[in-house]
Amino acid sequence: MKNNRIVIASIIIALLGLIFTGQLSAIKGAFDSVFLPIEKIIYTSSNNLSDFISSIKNIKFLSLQNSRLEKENVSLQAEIASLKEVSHENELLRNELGFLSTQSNFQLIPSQIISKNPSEYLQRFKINKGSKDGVKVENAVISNGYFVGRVTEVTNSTSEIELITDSRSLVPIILQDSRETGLLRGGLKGLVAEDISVNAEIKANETVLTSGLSGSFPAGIPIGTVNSEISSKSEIFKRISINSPIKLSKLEIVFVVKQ
Amino acid sequence: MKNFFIFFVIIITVILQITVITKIPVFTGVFNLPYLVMLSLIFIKRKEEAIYWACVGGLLLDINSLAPFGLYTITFIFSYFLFLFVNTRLFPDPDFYIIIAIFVIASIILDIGYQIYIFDLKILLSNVIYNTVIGFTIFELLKYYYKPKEIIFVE
Repeated sequence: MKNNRIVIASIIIALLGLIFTGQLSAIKGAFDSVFLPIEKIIYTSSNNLSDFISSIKNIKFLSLQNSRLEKENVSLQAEIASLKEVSHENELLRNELGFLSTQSNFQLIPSQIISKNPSEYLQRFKINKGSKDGVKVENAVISNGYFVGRVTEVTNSTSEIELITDSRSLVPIILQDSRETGLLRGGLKGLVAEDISVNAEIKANETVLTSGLSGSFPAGIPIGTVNSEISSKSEIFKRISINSPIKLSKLEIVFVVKQ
Repeated sequence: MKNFFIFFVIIITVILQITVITKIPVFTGVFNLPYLVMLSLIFIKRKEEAIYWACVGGLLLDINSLAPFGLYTITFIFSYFLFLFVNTRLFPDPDFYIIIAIFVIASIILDIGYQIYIFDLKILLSNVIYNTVIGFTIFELLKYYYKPKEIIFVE
């Protein structure tokens, strides 16, 4: 009898939740305010476990990867030296022209990831910053300067982030050199830019940026680089696969772009 | 007191699910700890505890999940009644192959909601294999630690 009451109560709550989805932020907020510190500690301390397991999985590739990274490190150091010069020159030119720094238009809110969706179907996670910190729905989320997702739901102390790899994610993009626009779609097959003009001449490794056409995120945030064209000749729009330099499954700290 | 302890263990399990288990996917598959514990409890004849895992575990996962609210609760309660029927009417004392088959079917049922939402057979297959392996391990562990309640016949 008592069990029947529990079942009925649970089903009613679940059905009401389904009907009034979007009205549940108060319940979620209350739960988060109680369990947020525990979740944060467990999530952070389990990073080593995750790294350990992935190391076991990839142990045969590690020595090969190490030698490749050593070579890459040397070339990157040379690149950093040249970029420092370019950055210095750029700074001088900005000052001369009276331009504001590109990041002065928005503030960055550093946030820590505290939990992920229980299943891999949804590429979404929760961060420890909410409306009291100024996070709003549709704010862009970046990591190492690259666009990684957007805010979909906000409670008082937490926010939910949809990664660009989520199959429901759709982001307006622009290709930096060819200036072609399109839509970046997520999914488990990887990042794919769609709706690109069939006449567009796209170069390999061309940088992909947010176009700002949605009005939600600022324009010009890098997302990744062009990998290859994957559309067939019969298609009326081009589709290209995009590489993101950010390991989205290994994210720990992200920045919410507060406009 | 006992119910409070079960409730506490369910909360810990749900927190582990969203913080630790999601970090160790195998071929995009992630096992669902509260669901597997609930199924194992049914098959070691502890249905009173299993119903708490179905209701409280489902609701807590829904609160923490970023999927539509209710998906876990409804799936958990549906699975509870389905596998309770399977246990009481069809296989009261399931052998190894039946248990494996039950975990495979249960894993598919758990993923039906998500498959309607996002159709992806690769994740489904990974989840089925991962859930079956971990589920069977949990079942054997619980069976070892909990002995089935004795049935006393009064003449």
